[in-house]
Amino acid sequence: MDPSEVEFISEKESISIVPNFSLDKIYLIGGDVGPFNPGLQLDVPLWIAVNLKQRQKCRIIAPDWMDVEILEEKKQEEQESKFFTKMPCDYYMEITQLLLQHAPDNIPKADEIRMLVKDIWDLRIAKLRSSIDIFVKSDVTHAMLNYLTLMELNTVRPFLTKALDHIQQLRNNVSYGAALWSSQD
Amino acid sequence: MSMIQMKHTRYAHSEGHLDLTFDDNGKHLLTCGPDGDLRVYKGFDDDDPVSHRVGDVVYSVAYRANRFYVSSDDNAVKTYTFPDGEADGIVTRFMAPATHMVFNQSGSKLLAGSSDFTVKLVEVETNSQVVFQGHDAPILGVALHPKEHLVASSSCDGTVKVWDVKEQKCIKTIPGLPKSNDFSASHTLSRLTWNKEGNYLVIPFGTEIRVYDTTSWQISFILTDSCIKENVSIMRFSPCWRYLVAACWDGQFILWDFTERRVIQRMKHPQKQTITAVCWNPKEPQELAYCDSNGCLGLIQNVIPEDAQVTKTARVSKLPNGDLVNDLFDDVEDDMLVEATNPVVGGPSDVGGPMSEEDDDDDMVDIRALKKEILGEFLDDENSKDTDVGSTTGQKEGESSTANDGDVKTRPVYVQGFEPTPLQPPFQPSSCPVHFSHRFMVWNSVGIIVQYNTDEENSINIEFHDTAVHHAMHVTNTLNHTMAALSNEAVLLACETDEDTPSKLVCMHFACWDNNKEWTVDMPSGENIKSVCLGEGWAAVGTDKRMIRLFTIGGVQREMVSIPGPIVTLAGHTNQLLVVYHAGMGIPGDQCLGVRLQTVSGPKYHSKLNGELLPLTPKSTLVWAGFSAEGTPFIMDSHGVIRMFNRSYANSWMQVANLKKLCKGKSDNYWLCSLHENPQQIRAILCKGGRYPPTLPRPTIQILSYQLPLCNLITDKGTLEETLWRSKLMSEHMNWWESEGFEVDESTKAQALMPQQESLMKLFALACKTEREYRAVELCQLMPNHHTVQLAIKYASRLRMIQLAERLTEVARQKAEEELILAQRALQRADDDEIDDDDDDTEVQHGEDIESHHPAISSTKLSVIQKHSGKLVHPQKEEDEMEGEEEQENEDDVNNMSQDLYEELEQEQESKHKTPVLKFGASKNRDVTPKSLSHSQSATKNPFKVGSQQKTPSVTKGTRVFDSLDKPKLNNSPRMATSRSKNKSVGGRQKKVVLKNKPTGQQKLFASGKNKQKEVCSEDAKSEKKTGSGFQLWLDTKEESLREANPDVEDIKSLAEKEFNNLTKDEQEEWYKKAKDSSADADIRKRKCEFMDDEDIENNEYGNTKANKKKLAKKSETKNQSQSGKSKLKNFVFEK
Repeated sequence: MDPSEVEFISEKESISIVPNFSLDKIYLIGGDVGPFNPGLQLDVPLWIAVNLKQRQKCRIIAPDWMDVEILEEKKQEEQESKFFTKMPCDYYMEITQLLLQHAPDNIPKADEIRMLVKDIWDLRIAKLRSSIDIFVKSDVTHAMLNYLTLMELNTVRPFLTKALDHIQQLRNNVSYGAALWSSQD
Repeated sequence: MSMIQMKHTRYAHSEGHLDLTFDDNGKHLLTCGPDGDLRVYKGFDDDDPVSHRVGDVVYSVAYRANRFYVSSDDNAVKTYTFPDGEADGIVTRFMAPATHMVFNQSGSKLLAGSSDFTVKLVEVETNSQVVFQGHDAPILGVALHPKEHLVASSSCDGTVKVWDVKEQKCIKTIPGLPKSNDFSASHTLSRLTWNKEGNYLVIPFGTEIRVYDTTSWQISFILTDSCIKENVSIMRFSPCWRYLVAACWDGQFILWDFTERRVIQRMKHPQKQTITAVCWNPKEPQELAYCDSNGCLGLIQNVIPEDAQVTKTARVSKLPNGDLVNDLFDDVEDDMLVEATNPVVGGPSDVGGPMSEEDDDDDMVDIRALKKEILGEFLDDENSKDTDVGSTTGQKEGESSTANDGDVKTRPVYVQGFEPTPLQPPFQPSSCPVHFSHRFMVWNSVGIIVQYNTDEENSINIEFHDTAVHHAMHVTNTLNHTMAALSNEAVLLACETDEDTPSKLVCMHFACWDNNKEWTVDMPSGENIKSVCLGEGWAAVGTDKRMIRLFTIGGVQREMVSIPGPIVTLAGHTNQLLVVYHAGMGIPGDQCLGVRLQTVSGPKYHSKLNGELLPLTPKSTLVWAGFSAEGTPFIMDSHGVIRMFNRSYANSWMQVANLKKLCKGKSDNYWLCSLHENPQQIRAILCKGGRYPPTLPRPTIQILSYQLPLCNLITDKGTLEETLWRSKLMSEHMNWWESEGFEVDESTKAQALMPQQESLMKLFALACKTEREYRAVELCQLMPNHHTVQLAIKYASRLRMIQLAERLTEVARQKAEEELILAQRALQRADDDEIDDDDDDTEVQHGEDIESHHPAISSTKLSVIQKHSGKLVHPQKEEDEMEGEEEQENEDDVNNMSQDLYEELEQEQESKHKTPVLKFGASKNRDVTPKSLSHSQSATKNPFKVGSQQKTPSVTKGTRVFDSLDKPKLNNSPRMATSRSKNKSVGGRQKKVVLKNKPTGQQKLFASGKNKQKEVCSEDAKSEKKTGSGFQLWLDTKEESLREANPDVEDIKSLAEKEFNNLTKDEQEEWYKKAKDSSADADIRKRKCEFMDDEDIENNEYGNTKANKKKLAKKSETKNQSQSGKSKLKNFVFEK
């Protein structure tokens, strides 16, 4: 799965905006959106928010979790925990990325948030790698990981599955060879 | 003596809150500060002070009897020996650092207030303590009454509380001090104090010092001075108790002669630093030491000017002598004395119950007596000295009752007068205070105006919520505008006078279609703009000359209105102007605001409110005034209560929301932006821990809902009632706009009615379920139309509440009649207007016009209605009449025929018909009386009579005519009665008929069901079909098919109504015409009804009348066809 696909999925998440135009309810396959009243906050899918923002038709309101204090806490928690912790949003990386790219002026302390989210991401990816390492080395057949987000999973999926395949193949070959060897005896 | 001398401050501790004290003989200065050290200076000039490490941060220090006491950040009050500085134990502990400590005069008790909101009074020796809990914030200052039975404390929660030591409870709370959230954040230390005698409590109160009488707790007098610019923070009496020094937050010192209440000295901290501690040298009364927040220690010498201390010199020379005595007294003797006397004095008073103040006085006397005994001549010596020097340091302990009395005599009597509440300053709705560097000038439904007023930037940003209105604007604020208003057409900016430049009004009329979008007006010199507002096509400014100046939006000066008091605020909407001004002095603590609501443009100028007083919550100020988007005036006060102007209920104000209750935090507030009635929305911004929102990050508007403060809102009944009244209230604006000549979309109106009806029905159901039938009837009376009542009737009958259903029928009838009358009036009004236009029209023609253009309404009925409305005044009378026999009644009615009915109409009819006048009149009157009966007299006589009629007791205009004609014919068959119900005639008469004549028939009918009824009805419908009932005609032709189509529907009539209403206007019109044409044949058809023999003549004549009318009608038909009011009325008939 391409990261852009994951991003596409994340664009369904709802986010608050303050539009500066008025428009009646619009009826979309994914659900009804609106009505848009200038100056009044409403929730729309992220893709609409980004689109409107690009056209300077709205002001995006940062989600509650996109706050320096909360993220710092989260980071701390992530650091202290051996396992993955629950993220405030399943698409935290994608949403942060999109918002900071398109609406940095609407996000208070955008730079700090960018840093914090990146830190959290790095922490989690490092954790993921080390656990995969342990998993592969420990020669067990299954492992459980909680609270991984789609984007994070997606970073390891293509490689991991293939690698496991190969390992399996090699193992099979080894055991096959061993069997062969023993049968020759 | 030398002049006042302020020594240069010297560094003592790091920056922060410092405290200091003198040791008992005034030789050593002890300071402490945030660096955790306690320094002992041997006099101010000591360059090498001894430091003792006592904690990390030290908040407060006190010295008594060779010990010093410090409170540090380990939350304890610890004691150390002096001068060695060895730890000597813990006096008491708190949950947070103690912020202020004082000793009683004997030094036996320590009073400390802490950041953990508590105050403790600790017996130093025994460590026994009394705790005072009740403050809601950290304690700032504490003071112990000289007699030690009272404790006063001030706190960051903005109150001063006085505690009774014995009872450990608060006996007085004085609110109104500046609030803060922490000791360190407070802009005052509020170090209050008692005077020597303890009859005054002296509290720093903002920029003034309030002196409270301790018996009445009223303000006895206020000490203030023009050079106090900031909060008074610390107050200390001089050791002689005569002088009071007050230190302000900005480093200002003021010295008062407390007995004479005059300022005798003003001093200023050289660097204008905040003073954190002040202490008099106990032995050198000319010396005052202080600490500032910069960590420095300062000293002022020769504080008291010579002219102010006439009696001093003698004393000063004697001081060395007195020192010994005082030392003895302070340190040793007194402690012993108190300890010695306590068991003696405490014993009896304990037995006698709680000590009163007199007891206390006695204690003092006892102590004095004891002192005398013990000290003997030594004390005599001191006393003699005291008398020499008057009120000085030496007298501290030697207080005598005679001296006290003398004081009372010499002191001028100050009568506690009425203290006016300060008038609230003018404001702009939805704006932040002017002194903010970033502030919202306006935030309304159109947009936001933000003012930046910093050193670098002085500008105004105008943003529109809807960029379609206008793009955002950025203006440099050269004129220093402070007021702004914003509408869809223009931006109004105004500034006050600034030295040479006059007060200016600038209007940016961006909706203007020419190129000059801006205009400016200068106020006459000396006139200052205080408030501005914008309406539709006009602008208004309120000035301090109590003038409202109106301008057109293009800049033409218009009317000026003088208002009776200083302006508070202005608000505009379309052509309405709301002015709020000070109407006078309110009762203490309250504002007394007058309000004026007027129209400023349009065909008629009128003021809806003129000088009425604005209702505000007690002790609150107005913070918002304006209009909802729908144009209803609203106000909000500082307690978050929103009130709405209720035009439909005697122009009263009604509370519709309390925003404060919606806040989670105690210090949170909502800042109101705009209000909407449809949909019901309050748009406000939540301000956490303040009243005003920050400009960055841009706050988001929250949508809040109204809630009427009705009782029992937790119950279903309460919530439903609330919904009912709220929706009713919020839909009133439509009626008002209609009355102002605006068109209101029927569908929105109906939509607004929906929740009202819904909640009424639910309430009704609730009342039924709880078997509160009387309440159910009451609820039905509240229902907006009789149609809803019918639903209620259905519901009731389904629940088998026959009696209730019965009564409801009455209600329904009544409703129907009222509606009819209303419609009639509307019609009449429309016609009146028409006649006004046409001079040739006479009154008679007028009457005919009505009938001819609205064939559904017959002349007879019109007169009937007139009569009815006239007669309604005496329902009781009629009721009485109704008790009589039918014939008698007729006569009575005739006799009582009110004179105010349409005489023309009557005469006309009488002349046209050759029928006996009496009979016709009687018939008409029969119409009247039962109707009034139906309101006043309930149909208790026959509970079953309703059966058929319950279902459709409604009115179709015109049918009433026949009812009236039928009336005298008392031997009507049940068919007649049912037919009438079928025709939706007004119920009163039918009921009468039924009541008197055919109870059994009715019962039968009730039992036999609808089919029979319908058969009869169709027959009668034809016979009775009146001219103009297009619907009847239509119904007749369609009924069969309808019934076939809907075999299971019982109420064909209502179904038919719906069907008919679904027809287009044109189609309906067609039916009306057909109906008219067929009216000529009406009499012939009617003849076919054999039971109507008696009535034939009448009908015939009636038909003739109709025909005549029709001719007249046709004349003016074309003219009137377009009248919307009338066509509405036609619809009205069928909407029932």
